[in-house]
Amino acid sequence: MHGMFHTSLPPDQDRLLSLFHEIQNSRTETNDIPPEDVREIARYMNLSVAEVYGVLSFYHLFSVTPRGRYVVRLCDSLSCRVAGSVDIYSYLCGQLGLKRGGTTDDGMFTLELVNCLGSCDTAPNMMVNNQLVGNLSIPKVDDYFGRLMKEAGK
Amino acid sequence: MVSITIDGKHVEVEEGTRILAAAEQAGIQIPTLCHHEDLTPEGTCGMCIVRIEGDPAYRRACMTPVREGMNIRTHTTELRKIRRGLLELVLAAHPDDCLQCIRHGNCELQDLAERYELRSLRYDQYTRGLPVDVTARGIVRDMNKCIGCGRCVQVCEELQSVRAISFYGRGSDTIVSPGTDTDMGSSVCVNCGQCVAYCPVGALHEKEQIDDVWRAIEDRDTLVAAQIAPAVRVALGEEFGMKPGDLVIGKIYAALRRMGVDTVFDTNFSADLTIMEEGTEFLELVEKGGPFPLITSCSPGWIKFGETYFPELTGHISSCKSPQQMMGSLIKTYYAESRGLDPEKIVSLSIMPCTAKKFEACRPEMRDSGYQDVDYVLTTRELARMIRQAGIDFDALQDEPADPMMSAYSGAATIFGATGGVMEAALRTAYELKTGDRLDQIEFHPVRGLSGIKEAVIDVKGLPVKVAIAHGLSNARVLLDKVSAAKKKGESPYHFIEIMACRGGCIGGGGQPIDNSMRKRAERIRGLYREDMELPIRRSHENPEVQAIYEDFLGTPGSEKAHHLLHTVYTKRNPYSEAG
Amino acid sequence: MKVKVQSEYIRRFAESEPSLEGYEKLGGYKGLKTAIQRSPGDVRQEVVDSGLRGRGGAGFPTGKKWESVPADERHKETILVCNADEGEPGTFKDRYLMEHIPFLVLEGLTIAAYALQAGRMYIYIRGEYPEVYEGLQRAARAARERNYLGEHILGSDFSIDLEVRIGGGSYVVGDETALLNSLMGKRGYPWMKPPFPTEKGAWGVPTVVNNVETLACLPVILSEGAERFARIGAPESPGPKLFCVSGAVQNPGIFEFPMGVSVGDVIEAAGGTKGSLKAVQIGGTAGPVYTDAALSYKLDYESMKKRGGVLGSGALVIMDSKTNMAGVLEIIMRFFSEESCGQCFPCRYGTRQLAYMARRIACGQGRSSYLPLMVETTEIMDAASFCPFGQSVSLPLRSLFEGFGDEIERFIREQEYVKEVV
Repeated sequence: MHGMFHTSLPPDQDRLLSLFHEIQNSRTETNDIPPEDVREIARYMNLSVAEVYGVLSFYHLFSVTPRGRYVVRLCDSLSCRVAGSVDIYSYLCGQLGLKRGGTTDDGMFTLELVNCLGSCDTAPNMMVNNQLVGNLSIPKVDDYFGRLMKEAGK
Repeated sequence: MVSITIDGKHVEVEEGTRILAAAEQAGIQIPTLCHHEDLTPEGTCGMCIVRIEGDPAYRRACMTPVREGMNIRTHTTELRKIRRGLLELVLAAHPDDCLQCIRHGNCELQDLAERYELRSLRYDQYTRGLPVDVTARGIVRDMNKCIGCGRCVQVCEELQSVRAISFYGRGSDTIVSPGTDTDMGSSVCVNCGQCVAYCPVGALHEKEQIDDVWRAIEDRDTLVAAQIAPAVRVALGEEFGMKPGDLVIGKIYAALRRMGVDTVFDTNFSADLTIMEEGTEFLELVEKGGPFPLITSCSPGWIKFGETYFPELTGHISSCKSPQQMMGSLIKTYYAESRGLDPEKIVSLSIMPCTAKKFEACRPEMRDSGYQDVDYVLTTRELARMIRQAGIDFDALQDEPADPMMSAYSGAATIFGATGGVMEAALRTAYELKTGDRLDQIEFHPVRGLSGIKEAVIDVKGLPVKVAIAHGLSNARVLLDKVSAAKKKGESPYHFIEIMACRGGCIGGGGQPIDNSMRKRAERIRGLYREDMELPIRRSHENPEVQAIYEDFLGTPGSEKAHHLLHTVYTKRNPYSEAG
Repeated sequence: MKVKVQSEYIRRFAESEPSLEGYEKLGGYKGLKTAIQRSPGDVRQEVVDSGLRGRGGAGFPTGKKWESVPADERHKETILVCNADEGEPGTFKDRYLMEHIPFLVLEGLTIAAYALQAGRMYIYIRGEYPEVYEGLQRAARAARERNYLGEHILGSDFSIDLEVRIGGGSYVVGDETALLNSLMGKRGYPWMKPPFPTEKGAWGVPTVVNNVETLACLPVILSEGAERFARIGAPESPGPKLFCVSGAVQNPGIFEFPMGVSVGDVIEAAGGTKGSLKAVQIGGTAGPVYTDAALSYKLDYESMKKRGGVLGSGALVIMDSKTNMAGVLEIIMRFFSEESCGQCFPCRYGTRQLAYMARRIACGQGRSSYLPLMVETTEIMDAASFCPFGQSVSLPLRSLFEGFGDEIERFIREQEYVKEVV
């Protein structure tokens, strides 16, 4: 399979992370950077395949394997814990039928635990794709995910 | 010069010297794990930390340059405790299977554990539980054993510029990998094995074929015919306590026979043959006026590198096979016919300093005899293991000769194992064939030595022949970038180029005894040039067995039969495709 | 000196809907206008005189860092990077500044660029702030239109434009050399200093890395003078500081105080503890965890250092009696293990063993031998780590054992289980 992506970013190594974001964000159903794209990035940037994987694998926002349409990143750092993030996590695991890192069968949600999202005054926090959602409570979680499901027609 | 004090001892060292080297000069061995004298220190392991008076921090001896008046302590009680604890941390993350490991007895981690007498670990042990990558022909990658020193990445990226592997992941999960969807076999890895040469543990090692060879030897039905590369004869002794550069070829022939090998030939014979074929090829180009350059083709690591990164230059690579492959096809034709043997019952074995030769033997086009021309390739290290397994006391062996027909060789052949050796051998013959004159000075010193890129203009009776030699693939890349750029302008800065994938030449191959440092390689090279000087015949075209094979079998150099059996083709490879 | 009044040095510019017009009305861009009329050397001297210290966590004097850029030809290529990789748990002041007062940050950055006569200017923002990234791009566009950025700034000879680069998720990249490697598109490994980035930084060129909050102090230093700045706060830690308060408090948020304010006063500003105060971690995950004795501690670089602690990012995470300290140990050790870059042995192996032991303690499977072993592990990391990351684990660990050792030992003895461990 041949990787295909369009970018206006120049083929300079210092644009690599930006290119990763661009490709991943454009793949709205799977939020990933598949192997064929990695090869194409290597060719485009005149880097070796190993080098591109090396950079990609260092940064935890990127994934080489397909994820869900919505990547849910729940903060698991101290402030959020103190504010009760674990209850939200347990609830989400139960509702989605997932464990950490898993993706729902319908390809809608991937649940990840991450470290501090930098909004500790609105703890507990999560990010859903590129959106920060703070002041989480179980009702708020129900409401938020309910809306997402409705938008997806499910 | 700079005066410092180390552990109470005063030493004078050159400015810019790192503490590690300064300590060595003072007779003090600071422990290291990630450091190697041939590589740029990266400060990964932290074992070499020392205390400097007036400095609150601990400093890495491998990276810190000395300064006038420094007062250094290298082995305080505290430092010993820290290093011991650090070693425990590393060992707790390392598999506990020394007895089954290929590097048992020759492992830098074992050495340190022994040095610190680590009889128990306070940390709980864990391993990564990753599958071992056996997809490459020459090299096995076992990431359960990787300690993360980074030597292999530095070697592959900087010394070889192949860039087949990089660090992958983050934190304690970091391994070395060609990529997620790629294993070594489908990557751009050229199997040069320089990563193996520098790996301190058993994370990267040769793909062994010892069991296959024992089976072939023990099979009464088959006849095993072996060939031995030039670089092996000045290095195998190291596995038995001898010095690098000691010539042990007579013992090798004897050992192989004791092991049960039926016929013992010598790759140096086919090296002489290669010179005949390649020299002829070169002189034909000279007649036609090009196209230049002609590039040597006996280094399979270089060949895959060229096919991958310089596909536009593959037309300039000599069509000659390597000596290993020439010998392989001749064993199953020339030899088989002359003895009335069924080639299907012949097992063609080669003993090589090289891991890439395992890949070369399996190239689909290497079947001109009608069978796989070379069945098994054993590295120098594997042969040493087999000799030990056979209970042979190598040191006590009496020298024996090889079997006639394809074992006589000239000094020109034996120097193939050194960088510049193929070029020198080719020049000795090409000069005399072209001019009809006999050279009084047959040693071509400008092509010798360890400079990464060597250039010379050889005066062949008024005809200036511009040659270049590169060893180590990053040097090859520099040279070939120049050639490629010139080619675009329709020019060629050189007539003849020799490229060896490994620094120093084949004597530094991925299959050679470890410690495979440049220091050892230099000694091995000296051994080969010594042998050359002592041999009665020093020119390939004067090898009587070579003359015989043309007369009896091949006809003339470059004949149709010679082309069929002794020449080959190359494949352009895409570094970004899944096939690698 | 007890100071209860929050300061307004920085916060007076804050608007919930940031606009360039609004910012100018509140006095914005006066600093840049002042700076550009003076010589770069004068501007640098002003910053030296102010005593401003880096607000990212290390507290290195900013003027001194600028002065270490070589004065020769090379300084023309100087790169200025704003470190917006705010990853220290408990810290959200840089997000606050970039979201609510982006022009203050841009102005400060441009002043710095002018003072250094920089050739290139970047903001490196963490990958978890994509909305902030978009906001910064918008602000830069507005600034360009008004000639506060780009060619011939405010009609002067000085031109510089801004590139905003976004990270991929990695805490260690907040370290300046790791950040520069990431900026260059590589794995976020720190490199060994010397050479210092100001001598040889990104692409081998002199590079200055400054934190968002540090740069945000520059506009007022320039428009109102170094002396005004230096008079606020503590003698060796002048100026105002944005303290991030989170955890078990009534009103978590950002509170601006002069340096030297007491922990108790900051917590009070945040509405006080919810429940009773059990512990407070100061400076981020790499900072010490104190008992309520910390209420009287002064929050400035020197005072914290004298206590064997750090001010760090100025984050305060408050824990109440519901918090389980064995659980806190597990969270902190796991953080370091997940974020270790893996380059050096002491840290990659040490953080993993620490996280493992902390987890076993929290899961009721701890052994008493773990405690001294964990301390010894951090000693190894203190001595042999390649960079400050590995050396910063011992502080929270030791402080937890000192302040809450009894609780943790009881956990081990009674094989108690922290129910929140996931």
